[in-house]
Amino acid sequence: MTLPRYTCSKRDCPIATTGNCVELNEPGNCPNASVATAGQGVVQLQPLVKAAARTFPASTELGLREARRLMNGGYAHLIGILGAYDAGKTCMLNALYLLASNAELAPRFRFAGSLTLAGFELRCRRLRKWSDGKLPDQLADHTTLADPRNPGFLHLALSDGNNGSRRIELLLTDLPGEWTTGLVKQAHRAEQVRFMQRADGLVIAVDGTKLQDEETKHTEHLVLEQLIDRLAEAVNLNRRIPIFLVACKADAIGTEVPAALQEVADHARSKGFVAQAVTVASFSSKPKEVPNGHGILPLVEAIVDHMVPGSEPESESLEPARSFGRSRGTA
Amino acid sequence: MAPPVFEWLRAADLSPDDAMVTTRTKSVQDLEKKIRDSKTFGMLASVVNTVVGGCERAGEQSLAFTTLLECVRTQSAAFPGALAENGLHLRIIGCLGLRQLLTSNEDDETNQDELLAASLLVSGLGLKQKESGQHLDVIFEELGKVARANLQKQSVVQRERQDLDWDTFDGLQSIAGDPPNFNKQLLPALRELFQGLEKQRESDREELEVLWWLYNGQSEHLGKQLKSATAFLAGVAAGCELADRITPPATAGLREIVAQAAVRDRTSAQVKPKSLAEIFTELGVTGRKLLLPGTEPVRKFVRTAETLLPLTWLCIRLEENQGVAGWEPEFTQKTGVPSDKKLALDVFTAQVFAERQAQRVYQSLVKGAS
Repeated sequence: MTLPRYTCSKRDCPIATTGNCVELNEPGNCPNASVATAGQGVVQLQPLVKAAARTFPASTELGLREARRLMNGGYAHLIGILGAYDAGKTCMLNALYLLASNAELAPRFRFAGSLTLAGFELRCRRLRKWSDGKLPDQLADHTTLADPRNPGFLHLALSDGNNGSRRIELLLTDLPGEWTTGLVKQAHRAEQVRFMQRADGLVIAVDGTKLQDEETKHTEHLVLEQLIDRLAEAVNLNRRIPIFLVACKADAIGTEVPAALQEVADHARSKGFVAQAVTVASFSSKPKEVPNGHGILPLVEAIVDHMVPGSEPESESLEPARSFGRSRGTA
Repeated sequence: MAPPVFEWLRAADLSPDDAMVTTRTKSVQDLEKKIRDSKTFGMLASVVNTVVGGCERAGEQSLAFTTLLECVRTQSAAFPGALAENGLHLRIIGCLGLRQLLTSNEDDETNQDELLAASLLVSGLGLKQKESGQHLDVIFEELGKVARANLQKQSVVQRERQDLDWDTFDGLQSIAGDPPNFNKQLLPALRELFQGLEKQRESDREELEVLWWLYNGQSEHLGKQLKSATAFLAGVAAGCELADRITPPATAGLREIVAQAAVRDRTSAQVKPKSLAEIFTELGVTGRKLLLPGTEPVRKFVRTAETLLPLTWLCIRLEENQGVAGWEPEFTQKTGVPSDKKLALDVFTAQVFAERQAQRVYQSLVKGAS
């Protein structure tokens, strides 16, 4: 089928490319439009094929309702990320997204989709800006929530090569640092993070440089222990949920876990938690020494693979007097 | 015992509110009632299969899916109907319903629904792969415990030796001069005594059969001593032959002894874990035949409930295709158990024992299966 092609005297009219008049006139009746000459060509239109279009979710984060919808269909791993302002929480999320989208989590994990692509891209935009090959001073914008009273989630789906390409849905919280500092200061803020009881892993991000600085390390240590106490007492976080204390900015402090952070992990263990201290370099200023995304993959693996510690042995079952088990001492 | 509706639902919902917990509690009760009121065991078996294997495997047209959906929608009409939007939620309702079924009856008597549900759960959870998340793992661990506890309760009740009612029988002497009345009371008294004796005989017989089998260590089907058979062949023989000698369900103590029977007199190299592919090569036709169900209705059931009796399903499948190689992908796809999953000898034997018992329970309960 051939259709006449129009051109327009108006500069901004897209009629030549889309066939639609900017003034919403019928192309044949528009006083400014004229049929293109043969030399200008006649567009050969292909018949329209009804192809299923891929949806491109425009959401920058998922609210409780969307998260619930996702979880009702299949299991989703919820990863709670806490940490003070500028600790490196959003950078970790950005690093995870960029690693996944650049196949750097392979061979185990492959990117399998996201319902919050726009959200990740928004968070990464500072990183996309070229500044003479150097990292910008501030890697991500300060997090603000669409609804400041409710958590927002970023979604990332991975295909797990270790388990027959099983799809893993990750729901990652991106909470403002004020939520964490507020929880440390006021016990009643525990209600806000009650949803963490459903978490598959809790990541507490710490600015690694503050843990090494003589002036700040004691305060940081104290605040972290208070946070653990709050989680243990005010939130009464389920002890099955593993806690990962993450020293961010490993490119600046080295990949060795700071002693102060190990002490906090010991403190968490004393409260009954399964706790581990690790280091992460979301974006490295010295990529030759500490690679970009250092520590992110092991962190994701540790959460996804976390096995619930063996439960209590079953209480001694009532065995009949003439049981075989009794004679063998097994009952 | 209050059902953990809030705790379990959280696997599919960040924070279920009070209204949801209330309505889902009612849905769970509805499900239990439907299962108990059902005249056949089809619904129960389908729900167990869906709970263990997942809603995706069962599909939207399955009896379990439609039943679970109906139970929820009776309370919450706006609940989504598509599998992609409710699969996990409904599976958890199924888990709660089965838990309710296995814990709500406090009477000291055996119950057929509970016996079948618990037997299938123990068999189905035996080789089940870990779920994709810890919150689901916890649910299945708890469900397995509840099923084993229920089987133990029923096994104890079944083996309780009650005193025979001689007093009623002796009391008949006082009416010996009144033949019509005497005759009228004699028959029920005799029936009760014989029933008591029969129950005791069954228990005695079971004990003798099991003890002699263990003492001899001789497999009837293999026609040789267990210790002279290869390790996993001995395992399947011990599991099947002992399960055939008991009145299901077995006590927990016996389950352990069966597993030990196969391991006894073996070197550590012989009992080391092997993949299912290696095990089935070792079993050969002889070993596979041992686990085949005896009747066609049971086979038919196993073909539709692969996740609940995975080893039995494989034996049937290999018999149908005459042991042709290349069964591994189909086995993994149908049962959810990877064919390279490694099993220690005692674990394998315990699984065979559990599957054979589940076959026998199904056979005894389902009309036309025996």
